[in-house]
Parts: sequence; structure tokens; C-alpha cells
Amino acid sequence: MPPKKIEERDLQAVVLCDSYEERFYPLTKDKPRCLLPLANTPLIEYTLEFLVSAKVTEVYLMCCSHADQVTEYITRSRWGSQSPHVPFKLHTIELPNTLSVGDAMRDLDSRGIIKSDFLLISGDVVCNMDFNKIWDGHVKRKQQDKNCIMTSVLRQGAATHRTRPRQTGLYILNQETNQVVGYEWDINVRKVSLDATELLSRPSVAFRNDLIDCYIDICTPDVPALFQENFDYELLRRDFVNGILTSDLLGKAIYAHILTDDYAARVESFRTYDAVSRDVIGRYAYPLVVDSRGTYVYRKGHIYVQNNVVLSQSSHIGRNTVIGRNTKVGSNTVITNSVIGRNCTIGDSVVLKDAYIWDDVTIHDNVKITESLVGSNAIVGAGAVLNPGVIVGFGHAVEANADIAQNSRLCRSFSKECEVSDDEDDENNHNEMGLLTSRMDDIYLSDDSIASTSRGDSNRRTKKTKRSLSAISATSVMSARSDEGEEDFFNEAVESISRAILDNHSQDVSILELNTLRMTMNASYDKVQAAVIHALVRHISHLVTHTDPKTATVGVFRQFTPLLKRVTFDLDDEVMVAHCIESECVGRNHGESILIYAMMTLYDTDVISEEAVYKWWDGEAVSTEVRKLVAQWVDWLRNAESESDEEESD
Amino acid sequence: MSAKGDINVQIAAFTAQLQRREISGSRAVALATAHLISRFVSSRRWPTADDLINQVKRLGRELEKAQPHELACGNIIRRILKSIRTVDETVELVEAVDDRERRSSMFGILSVPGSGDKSTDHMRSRDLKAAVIEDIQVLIEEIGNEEPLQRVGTEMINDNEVILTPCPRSVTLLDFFLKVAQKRSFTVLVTECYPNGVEDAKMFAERLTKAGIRTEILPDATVNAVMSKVSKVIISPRTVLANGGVIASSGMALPCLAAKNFNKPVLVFAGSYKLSLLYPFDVERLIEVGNSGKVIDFADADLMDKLEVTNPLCDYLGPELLDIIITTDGGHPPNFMYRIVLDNYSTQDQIL
Repeated sequence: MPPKKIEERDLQAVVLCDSYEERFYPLTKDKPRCLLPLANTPLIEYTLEFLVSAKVTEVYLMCCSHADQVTEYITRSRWGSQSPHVPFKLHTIELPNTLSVGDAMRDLDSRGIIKSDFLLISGDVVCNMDFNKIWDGHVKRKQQDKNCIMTSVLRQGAATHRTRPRQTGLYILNQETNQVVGYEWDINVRKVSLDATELLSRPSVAFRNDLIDCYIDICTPDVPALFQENFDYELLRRDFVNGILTSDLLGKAIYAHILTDDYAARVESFRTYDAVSRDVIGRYAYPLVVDSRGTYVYRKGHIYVQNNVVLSQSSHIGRNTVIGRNTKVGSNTVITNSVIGRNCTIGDSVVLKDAYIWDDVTIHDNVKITESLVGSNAIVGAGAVLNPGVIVGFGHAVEANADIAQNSRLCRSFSKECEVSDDEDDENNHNEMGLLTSRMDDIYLSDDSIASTSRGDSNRRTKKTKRSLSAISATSVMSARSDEGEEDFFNEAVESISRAILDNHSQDVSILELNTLRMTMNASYDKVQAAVIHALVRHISHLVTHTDPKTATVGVFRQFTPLLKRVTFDLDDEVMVAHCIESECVGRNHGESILIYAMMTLYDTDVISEEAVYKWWDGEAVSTEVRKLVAQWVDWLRNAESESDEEESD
Repeated sequence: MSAKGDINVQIAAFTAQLQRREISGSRAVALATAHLISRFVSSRRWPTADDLINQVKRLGRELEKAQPHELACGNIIRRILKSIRTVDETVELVEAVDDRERRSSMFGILSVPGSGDKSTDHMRSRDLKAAVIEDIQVLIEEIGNEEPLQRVGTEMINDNEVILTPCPRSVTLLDFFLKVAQKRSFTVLVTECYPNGVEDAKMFAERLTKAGIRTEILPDATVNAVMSKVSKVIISPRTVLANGGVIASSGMALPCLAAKNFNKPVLVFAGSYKLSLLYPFDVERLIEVGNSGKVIDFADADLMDKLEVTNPLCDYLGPELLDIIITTDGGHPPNFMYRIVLDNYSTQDQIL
């Protein structure tokens, strides 16, 4: 009989539908990552299927970008309220203002929906593991160690495994208990510092660089709370795991569950998109396979064909291929190792090798596509050649006979933003973003951590180093960062503050943003100050065109007092700020009045102390022109001080 | 209305379970299907038998589409369709007699024809429903009861025999061996059925050993070497096809071929719910392909990249490899199966 299983436990799952990354740009411009199709099924479906098999009772989808699309998709899909049978309660939470995973977690905490231990999973996970085993392990560990707040599921792989994200950090585990002793986010460091007592107190410690981190975690309700307390945590691994492990005060423990039998992987970049697609087609994720819902017919050699497909007699469909409904394939066309979506039209004598063609694509005659991805509704003109690594965005039309260079990204709207991203990619970004380059024999690494929320990050030149093959100690060499990085930081920080001014963000947000930038780019505080002042003065000089310098300057500086206070710590910093303002005012209209009012405001709000003012004034002047007005004020300040001194002495 | 909603939920839940392979194994699927249809039939009123047949067919199509490799599901639906047809015929027969009686009596002359028809219609639908549900109950009992199968089988096993079985997953065979062990002493050799059945083989051997049966687990490749010592091979397939061939878990073809080579008998144990109307025209379609990760280690990056792995879950064994098929109603030679199948199903239901 249809077994109505009695749930022994209520298990909540939180699905992070947004990655807060831009690795799938430009595709994610039109569609959120979790709705991108993997082997013709949106990624979120795989995650939800896993949650069903894990016997989850309540699911929260945390969506940020394109939240409306996710909500709409869910309501119309078999998970929606219209469907007769949904195995769990599903809620979508739209969080349009979150900027990072940390923000989402903080929001989760403030909503107070988490009742007990919950499953935290990313919306792009493909997994067929037996969750009960892991859950039991977590419960047992919690009994033994009261401080256990999280169990991360890690699939054993190999350092160079195709499905392993290159950005997976180095895990240092206690071999007996699988407790995470250390975590190194930056895989390119040559040294990992560890507390000696940590090492000595444990019988054996393993350094694991062979794990596939699939972002499936069992968390206690403490986890969102900890995010709330530490508002600068942004990323789950880099900030949170690192933060917990390095903090002596918290005394919390994180454990790992090493998976050795089942399949678990995350689609976090184009490279893993390719790898996971091949795993799914190669039936490693069984029963999560292309034909699991009965709409595809399986043929020998991992060929999956949906109904109503028209294949011409002379076409050749090679191994590992998926062809969606209503697709037509012309004569003498050869398709191997490819995924073709629904309603596609493929012309004559086309060669598709390792290609991903999404829905409603038209490919004209004599096209050659290798190791590339063509987004939905795109058109590829006759005779075009797409070299490895090309990504064609939604609805883009590739001209006839075009020869598209390796690793280019094409998208429909030729807005400024888009072109910039094209250039970047062509120059240096292929490897981390780079699609199917994994098929090259040598695997290269870049020193970029792309997961940062800033786009400027990806501007830096990548330094490719060959990866050593050993599974345990695959470290690679990274050369020192050039000045370029600092310059980028300056621009990026200025941009961020200007945005904050224009969009009227709360200052906490900009402080957070600045801090992240500072940390990711390893910039010094004087750079931060310079950037802040630059942005503020630039804004004032815009304002000065309509209002008088006094109101503009006082207003802006007063508004940003908290921010300025956060970047000045001691006397030297204060002097530095004053110096920055001075050099910014040189050459600007009303420069001298901006300077005087700025100094006065900063003095009034206690950002700059009297001592600092003198120190600055006695220091070298950038230009005497600007100092004209300030001179009187400084004199007045000195007199006032001496007067008060006199009074006191009286 | 609520009852209708309820049955729809059950159907959707069952379909999902089939798709996710949460229910697998012929007997479990057959039982679950029979229970579901029993509820489906009782969930609403059926004005005519045709209506009922069409609705059950529609449901059957849905379930078959959900899991085309689980043939037991389709078998049960066809069995029920056949029973609906039979019930309908008998009801009609009884009615024809009734009608004649009524017309000949005075009462029949006075009654208004219209109203009378309505009440008989109502009666008919109720009779039909009750009769069909009763039939399904009988069917469910039949699926659960393997006693007749064991009775026939026991006669075929002698003392001190060595029996090879390549299907450690079969509940039917486990029960059978445990039953026979009460009367006879014999040795069982179990092949491990790498890679999908290794765990099951261990469990199977453990259960048999506990019951005092001498049991050994063999690697698959050694069957040819031990075949000379084996007195018979017993298998329990997933499905028996209309030509007398069977679809069985992978790893069964090799022992059967070896048995053929050594002229040892191959006995097939199959409950009647495993009989299918299908002919193996397209064998490839009938064979499900499973998890490649069981064949090679997923963590082995080099192999993963360079090898392409297929892990078929089933083997097709032609009728020429088998000697006798033992079903609930006795043993039959494989080439007689088409006849048994015709007894169980109506040819109109070949395609749902």
C-alpha cells in the first residue's frame, strides 16, 4: 500500500537560491543561477529532489536576485500549491536587499523561523546521498560535543577531480573525530599557520585538499545567530568557518562528514557546470538521472532523447548526449557529448562537440561548436565557429561566418557593463570563469578569489601556475600582488561609497562593503581613508554647483561621521584624513571653503582632535592657496585654547 | 470531493515514489499498485464498466510512464482490467436473466420503464464496484501468498543437493529456501552480483546460515568452475515475458549460460504478478541502467575522466536458457508461457 510514513522528526531546510557571485555572468543577468538548466532541468529541481529524499518537512527558499522569477517558477512547478502532492511545506522568501550569504543568514535569524537544527544547502547542489546517516552522525556528535554547531558534508575526491571546485579551501581535520581544526580559504598560500597546541593535543591531523565542498551543512540555530553577532561575516566558508575556528572566545566546533560512496557536487562555476552535467549524464548521480521522470528514453551509450525529436537519417548522435523535446536535427549533423534543449532547430552539417545548447536555440547550417555554451533563444548564423569556452548569452545572435575567439562571452545588450565584462574575460579571466577549459590536460589555477562580492576583484591579472598532482599537498605558487591591486581597491572603494551616497544606503552597509574590500584586497587603512575622502569631496563639489559650499560640506561630513570614525583610529590617522582632504581640495572650485568647513565639521564631531589639526597644519602644505581660509580658523583655535588655558591657570 | 482530492494525492505520491525508486522490487510494487487501484475504484461511482476501464487505463498509463522499467505495475493494472471485464460480463449475464423474469411477471408490466432502468443502473454500478474490489483483494492475497509456489518447488529439491542462485535480492527465494530447509538439507551457493548486489548477497547468506543452511558466496566469475558440482540453478527474475524469456537482475545471465553449457537445469520462480504481456522486441528498452559510481570509484579522477561506464541493472535471458518456470499455478516450460499469459490478461489491454 502507498506507505504514509510517519515523520519521526521535523526537519527544516534553508536553500540559498542566490550565490551572491557573478561566475555565471552574463547568463545570470537574465536568470538566477538556480533556474539555469543542467541537462535540461533547472538546477533547483535537483536540490529539491535531494530534499525530498532527505525527508525534509519544511523548506525555505532564500532568493535575492530575480526573486520574482524563482517564486513564479516554484508556483508553476510541481512544487507549487496547485500540485496535488508536495512532500514538504515550501516557502519562498524574497530578500532583494541582501548582498551576501551573511545578510541572508542575518535575515533568517531575525525572522525567527528556525526551530531546531536545520539543513543549509545551496540552490545548485546535485546530490543522491543517504541523508539519514549524516543526520544521525550529527546528532551523535552533538551529544558528545556540546559545542558542535555545524556538520559540513564533504565528498572525497581528488585535488584535480573534474567535479571539484578549484576554489575549495584546504581543510585540516582531526582524523579521529573529523572535527575541522583549521581551514584555509586561499588555496594559493604557501604557508598555513596552525596553533601548535591544536596539533599536539590531537593524535593525528589530516590536511585535506582532495575534498569536494558541496555546501550541504547541518547547522544548529546558533549559526544564524553567530552571523547576526558578527555582522561582517559574508561568506559561509571564508568568513564564517574561518571566524569560528580562529576565534578563541566562541569555543564552537565544526565537524566534517566525509562522503565516500554517494554523489554530491555543487554547480558553482562554468567548469563545474560542465563536470556535473557529465556526471549526471554518465549516471553517477543515479537515481537523479535525465530519464528519472520518465520523459526521456534512454539509449545505449548514455543517449537520452525526449519525445517528438526529429533526427534526420544522416545525422549522427554520439555518446553522452541529451536531446530535448521538439528539437529538429538536420542532415549530416554530428553531435557528441552535448546537451541540446527543447524546441531547438539545428541545421545541416553542424558539428556539436561538448556543447551545451539550451532551449529554443536556432543553429544554422555548417556551424561548428566546441566546448561552448549557447543560452536560450540564441541564434547562431550559418558557418559560424565557436571555439572552446565561448558563452553565448540569452537571445544573442551570432553573425554568420563569425569566428568567435576562445573564452569570449557574448550577450545581447551591448551596454557598457557588458562590454567591460567581455574585455575582462578575453584578457585574463578564462580559467576561473572559464567554461570547459577543464578538458585541457594541464589544469591551471588563478590567484583570484572570485567569490568576493565585488566585481573589481576580477580585474586583477591572473597568474597561472601549474598545480601539483598530489592529493594532500596541492599548493601552488603565488607571486606578490602588484600595485595594480591597490589602485583597483581605490577605484572600487570610491565607487562603493559614491553608490552609497547616491542610493542613500545605510552606513552600516557601506562600512561592511569597505571592510570586505579592504580584506579581500589586503589594502591598508590609509588607502581606505583616501578613498572615502575622495568620494566625499567629489560628491561635495557636485553639490556645490547648486548650493553654497557651507551647507554642502557640513551636511555631507556630518552625515558620514560614523563612517569616518570607523576608519580613523589614532592621531596619525586623523592627520592623514586632514591631509587627504587638503590634497583633494586642491584645484577644485571652492576648494578652500570646502576645506575650512570640512575641518570645522570634523573638529566639531570629534573625528579630528585639536592636536591632529595642529600637527597637520605644521606639516608640509600641499598648496598655500587652499590653506588661506583655514589659517584664520587654526589661529582662532590656538587662541581659544591658550585663552582657556589661561583661564584655567587663573 | 474531499475523497477525490485524497485519491489524487495518493496517486501523485505513489508516482513520485516510483520515480524516485523509493518503492522497488516486483512484489512491493505489485502490492502497492493493487492497493492504490483498490482505493481508486472505491473512491467514486462508476456509471458503466467502460468508464471504469478507461479511468483505470489512464491511471495505468501514468504509472507506467513514471517508471517504465517496473513492469509489475503494468501487470497488476492489466490483471485488474481483465477482472473488471469478467465481472462486467457476468453482471450482464445475470441482468439478462433478471430482465426476462421481470418482463414475464405482472409487476414488470406495471412498472415505469425509465425509473426502473435508473435503479438497475445504480445497482449495477454498485455490484460492479463491490465485485471489482473483492477481486483486487483476492489478487492482493495472491501476491502475498507464495505457499503454492513453495509447495511445487519443494518437490524439485532433493537431499544433499548443491543449488546455485545468482539472485540474492529475491524475497521469494529467501522464503523458499527457509521453507525447504525444514524438510531437506542442501547447500546454497550465492553469487555476489557485483556491483549492485554485494551487500544483498552478504545479507542473504547470513539469513540462510542462521537458518542452518550451508551457504557460500561466490565471486561472479567463478560460476563456470563450480558448475560441474551444482545440481540446479534457481533464479527469481523481475519479470517473465510472453515468449518465456525473463528480465532478471544483472549477473544472472552468466550462471544460466554456464548451466546450459553443463546441461544443468535452470528453475525460474515467479509469482503470477511477474507475468507480463510484453514480447522482448526491444530488449534495450527493458533494461534499466543504474549508478555508474558503483562500478568505479567516483573519487578516482583519472578513471572518471577517461572511462565511460554503463551499469545495467538487468539481464535478459532468452527462453532457450531456462528449463522450467514455476508460477503460483504450477511449473510450465518456457515456450508455454504465452498461454498462461493469455489466461491472466485480456489482449485488449496490451497497450494501456
